[in-house]
Formats: sequence, structure tokens, C-alpha cells
Amino acid sequence: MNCQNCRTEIEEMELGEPLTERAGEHLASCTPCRAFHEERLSLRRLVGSLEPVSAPPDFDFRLRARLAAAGNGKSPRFWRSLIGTAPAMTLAATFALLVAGVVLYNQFRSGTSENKQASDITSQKSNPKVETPEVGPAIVTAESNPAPEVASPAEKQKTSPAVLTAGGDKQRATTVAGNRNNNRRQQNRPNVDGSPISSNELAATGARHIKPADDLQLASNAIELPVRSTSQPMRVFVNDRSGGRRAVILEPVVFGSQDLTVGGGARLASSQGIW
Amino acid sequence: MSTLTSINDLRFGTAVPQTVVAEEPVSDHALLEATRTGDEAAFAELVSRYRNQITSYIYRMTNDYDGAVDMAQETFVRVYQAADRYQTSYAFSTYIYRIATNLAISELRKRKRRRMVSLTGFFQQPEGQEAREFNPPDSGPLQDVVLVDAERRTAVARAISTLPEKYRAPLVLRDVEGKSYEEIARVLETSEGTVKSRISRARGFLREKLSAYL
Repeated sequence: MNCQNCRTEIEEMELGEPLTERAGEHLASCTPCRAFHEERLSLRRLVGSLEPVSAPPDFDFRLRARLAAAGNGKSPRFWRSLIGTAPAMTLAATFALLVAGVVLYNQFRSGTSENKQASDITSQKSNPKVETPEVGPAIVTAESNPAPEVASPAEKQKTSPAVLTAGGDKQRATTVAGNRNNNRRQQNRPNVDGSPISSNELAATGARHIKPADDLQLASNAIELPVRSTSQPMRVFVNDRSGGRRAVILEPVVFGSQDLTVGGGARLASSQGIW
Repeated sequence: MSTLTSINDLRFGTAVPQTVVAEEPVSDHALLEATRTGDEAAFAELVSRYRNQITSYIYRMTNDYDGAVDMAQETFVRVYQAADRYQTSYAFSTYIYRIATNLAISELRKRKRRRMVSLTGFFQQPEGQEAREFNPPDSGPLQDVVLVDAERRTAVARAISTLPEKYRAPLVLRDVEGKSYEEIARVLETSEGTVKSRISRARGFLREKLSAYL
């Protein structure tokens, strides 16, 4: 037996197990291998002298708590394993969810703003018709051809700007009370419940109803006249069933702010009637 | 009617000779099989069999008792959670030591990445270099034998903890835990030849570090 084989046997032997006869013969004749044998035995005894440590007394208790916690936390473990196994896929899915969320949020916001704008426009259209008849809409309900005719400047000079007339002997005129400029802002506010405005300074009562004449058959559909006009009054001619012709003078409807000019006249701040 | 002659003659009931039947210990496989069916007592028995071994083994690997206890518990948690997937082709001890080894090596690698600053690590050297002695042997006469043994054990533990992980695990399994080469090879999922080679190399490292105690 050579030294290498002998040392291999020394390395692989169990502690307390005797060497083979051939290895023993080699050790008896080889001093370095004998020293190696003694050194290895000493080292193994030294390492083997380490006393085993024991688990703490509360090991079982802590283990039970840990098992319970692990049983309750299965979903985080699943996500953790998913992230660990496919990080790229998880990142892509997260990004896609983020983009989808942003798109949905933008759509929601734009839809909300459009609805708000539409509701504003509707309220602007409906408020004068229902709740502020004094600055009332330029709606003519008649059976005849409702094509409006804009009065000439000469006729405009003749007519009073503050009078709305419905023709014939049954015609009723409604005079709009003064101080319109004072009440305009208050009237433009939406009065939801229809109750009179309780402000002391800007109190206004509802306008009188204009009942149509007996011979004036109302059409089922209202005709909306363009009010995008100048600050001059507009004159509309309406034919009734009896063949009579009635002239309706529409006072200029002014919304929003006004710029009072010298001479008491008022002109629209916006030429388009949109504020 | 017999007459009582002593208090020993007073018997309550008839004495029945009981035959003592030596119960064979339930195998680890049977205990794990019972654990699968929800028998918590079987799992508790498994824990009681291996908790000290696993804690001690991980402690020798990491030289950190609290961490060793934590990892030993994690070992049992993994055994419990993977009880359904356990295959009885190998011994249960091989299986649980493999889990413990993987946890310990993982922890050692984490420490390496974090470059944790530890009090003992200050006296440790990189792999392959000679470590400075934290407790150099006193050349003078020592009075207390217990103190000498404690010092020697501390030095050995620290010397082991300086070994590279690939040498540390087979050495601890062989020289501290007393496992066979075959079992070590299965635990480490490598060949017996590799295990023998690594153990020999590890002993060479230790001989250099512990030359003062040999």
C-alpha cells in the first residue's frame, strides 16, 4: 500500500474503527503517514467534541404559531412565488393594469366634464323658459308657419323694447316690470324648487302666465327662434287660424354681463351671446 | 377464608399479569403519512425527533443560535407544507437535512451579499486565508480544565464557521453529525467522491486553523 491509499483510508475511516491490516503495516513503516493518522484522529475528536445544542423550550409553541401564520398567508406566498418565477411577466401585467387604469380615469374625467358642460347648457336653456319668464325665451307656439321675420330698423324704432304683444282683440300684453337689470343675476340662478327668491334686495315675483287665445292653437312642438341677435328688439309675425297676423316683439335677451354705455343703452359684452 | 398476616396481603382486586409488549417505534415515513391525513400528533412526534438535530446542525453551519432556531422552524414549516409532495424514496432524515442545508446555505449567501458586520466576522478571514485567532491559546498553565474545554470548543466552532460553505456542510454532517458518506451525498445532492474530496479539503483547512489545539 502506498501513502496515498493509506491516507485515503485514514480519511474515510469511521472514528474508533481500526484500519485494515495493510494500512496498519504501512503506518508502521511510514512516519509521515503515522503523523497524518494521529493528526486526523486528533482533529476529528476535536471537531466531534462540539456539544450539540438543543432547541429552545418554546420551539413547539413558536412552530405552531408559525404554521398557523403560514396557513393564513397563502395568497401572499402565491404572489411572492409568482413574482419570483416570472418577474418580467408580472412587471408587464402591472404596467398594463396601470395604463388601463389611467385610460379609464381619463375617460371618466372627460365624460364627467362633458356631462357637466351639457347640464350647464341645458340649465342655461331651460332656466329662462321655466323660471324666469321675464327674460323669457323667444319661443313662438303657433299653428302657422313660424318663420320669423326680423323687423326693419324703422319698425324697431316704433316698437317699445319692453313690450311683448299678442295680436287681435284678445291679445294680451304683458309688461315686464322694470328693474330688470337689477334682478338679472338673481334670475339667472337656477331656482330648483321653484320657490320665490327670498332675497330682500333682489326679490322678484314670478311673471304672469300668458294664456293663448282660443283661436290660437298651439303646436305640439315648440319652435325655437334664434336669439343670437344684436341688442335691438326683434319682431316676429305669427299667423293665427282666423287669418289674422300678429306681431310679436321680442325684446333683446341679454345673458351674462353687460357693459353699460353712455346714454343708458346696453350692449352685449359678447357679440355671440355666449358668455 | 384466609387470614391476613401482613398489609401486603391486602389486595384490591385480582392481580392480572401483564405482558409487556415492546412497541416498535413508528417510522418517519409513517409519521409523515399520518401528517398528510391531518394527524397533528404525528407531526409533533416528527418535530420532537428532529428539532434538536436540525437546530444543532444549522447552528454549526451558521454559528448563530437565534438564526438557527428560526431556520429550524422554517425547515419544519416546509416539511409540513410539502407533506403531500414527499416521496419515500429516501430516508426522511435525508429529506429534512437537505431542506435545512439549503436554508443554511441560502442564509450564508445572504449574509455574504449583505456584507453583514458581525463581531465575530471581524476576526474572520476571506476564504483560503489564514484567520487570526480570536482566542489565541494561552501558553501559560491553565488552571481550569472546563475553561480550557470551553475555549477550545469556541475556537473549533469559529474555525468551522470560517470554512467555505461547500466545505462546511459536508464536514459538519460527517464529523459533527456523524452521517455516512452516502447519506451526505444524498443530502447535498452530489456524488460520494465529491463529498470525500470536500471533507478532506475541509479538514486540511481546519488543521491549519486549529494547529494550536492539536
